[in-house]
Order: sequence, then structure tokens, then C-alpha cells
Amino acid sequence: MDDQAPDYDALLAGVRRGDQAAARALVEVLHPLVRKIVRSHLPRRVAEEDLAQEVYLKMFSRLEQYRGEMPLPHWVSRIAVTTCIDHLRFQQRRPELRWADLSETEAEVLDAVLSGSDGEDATDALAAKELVGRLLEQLSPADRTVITLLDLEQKSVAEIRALTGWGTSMIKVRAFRARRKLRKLFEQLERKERP
Amino acid sequence: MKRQDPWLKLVAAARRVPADEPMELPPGFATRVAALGLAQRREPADFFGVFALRALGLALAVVVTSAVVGFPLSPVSAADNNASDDFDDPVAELVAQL
Repeated sequence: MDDQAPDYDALLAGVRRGDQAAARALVEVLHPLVRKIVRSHLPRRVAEEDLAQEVYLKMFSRLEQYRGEMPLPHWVSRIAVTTCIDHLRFQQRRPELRWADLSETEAEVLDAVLSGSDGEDATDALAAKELVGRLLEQLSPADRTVITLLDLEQKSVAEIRALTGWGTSMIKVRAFRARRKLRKLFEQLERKERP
Repeated sequence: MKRQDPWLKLVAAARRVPADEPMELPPGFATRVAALGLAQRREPADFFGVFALRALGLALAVVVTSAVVGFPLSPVSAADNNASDDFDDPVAELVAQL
């Protein structure tokens, strides 16, 4: 773990001068953050590397707009989150989730979740993650982003506010709406689809 | 007994998946992105250059279109102007009276 924070001011000054090494160093320093956001909000059929590159290019093109009111990683994370949401908007929403579309392990996990029994092995966890991804695809991009940050990454509302720039009430409303929709999906799967 | 929210149970299970592999940069990625980013930052001048050329092209097209559309009307209006000039020319009227 780094015990010294990167000197963002020096790197930014270098980039503004057109220094290639500073620009490369900035990408390297910000990459763990950008890649983490991109990976957890990656739309289907979009390559992680392409999306990360888009985030960096937006960052470089908007650098004059950065006034230093917030730490640079926060500013870049907002660009990353909004870029992911823009891509999710372009992605056509998947048709209604059906029990028959699930893999065998996903169906087992869903059955266990609905019946209240617990499964603790790693296979279940992987299938649960896949299933979570399928369910999230049923939500709007913004709702999906909020619920991913809140429930999967267990971020606080304040952290989500810093990441997205959205207000507290908007985040709470989106989380409420997303959970309501997810509850309906579970009910629908249980009543109509469960074999 | 109240049943636990299935979504919360599911995400709790999903969170047990170990974290992804280390966030390594693909080879050459930082260099490529830095070069593209800096090139992009130099582009605004070029952008305005292209924009100015387009505006010039558009202006020329407007001039040519105006000339083509307006040309047939000009002889008529010129004739009208000459007629009115004849009519309103006090010197010509005076010479005619002599």
C-alpha cells in the first residue's frame, strides 16, 4: 500500500504543459480507482479497457474545468460513473427475467433465497453474483448504479454523493425505487415462474 | 416470523465472491491513453479551423445560390429603374420641352 499520496497538482501542471510522462503517470495513478468503478458498472458487450480509456479521454478534455474544489480522484470518479451510466443508457434493457433463462446453479441459488435456506459455498456466491447482475439489468441505469454502490459495494450515502454528485434525497429515492422493483421481480419469479 | 428480503440475502451471497484480480494496467495502455489525451487537448485550435473553413464554404454556397436565384430578376428591375430614371430626370424633361 502506498504510504505517500500522489502529487496530483504536479501531475496536473505537467499535463497542462503537455508533458507526456505526467499524463502517463496520472493514468497509472488513477487506474485502480477508474478500473474498479468501470468493472463494477460495466454494461454488457462493452470492453472494460475501452470504457476506461473513454473515462481518461474525458478527464483530459475537461481538465480545464477542474478547479480543485474536490480531490482529483473524486472528480475523476464522477466522470467514470457518469460515463458508465451513459453506456448503460445505450444498452437496450433486457426482456423480462424468466426462471427458464437461469442456469442450473442460478436457479438453485434463487430457489434457496426464496425459500429462506442458506448456501455458503463459493459456487453459490458466484452464481449469486451472476444472478444479481441479471436482476440489475432490469433496472434503469441510475437506479442500477445506486443499488450497486449501496448494496453490493456497501458504500454510504455520503460516499455515493461524492462519487456521483447526486443529492442525498435523490440517492435515497433511487434506492427505494430500485428495491421496490427488485421486490416485484422476486414476487413475480416466485408466483409465476417458479417450477 | 418475517421472511428476510430475498434481494438482501442474494447480495450478501454475491459479496462473498473474492475481489477481482489486481488492477494491473494492460501493456502500453497508459502510454496510448496519455498520447491520445494530450493530442485531444491540442485539438481545439484545429476544431475552430475546421469550423471556420466550413463556415467559409457555407458562405460561398449562399453567395452562389443568391446570385443564381437573383440573376433573372435583375434585368427586369434594371429596366424598371431606367424607366423610372427617365421619368424622374428633370434635365431630360427640360430638354424634351425645348
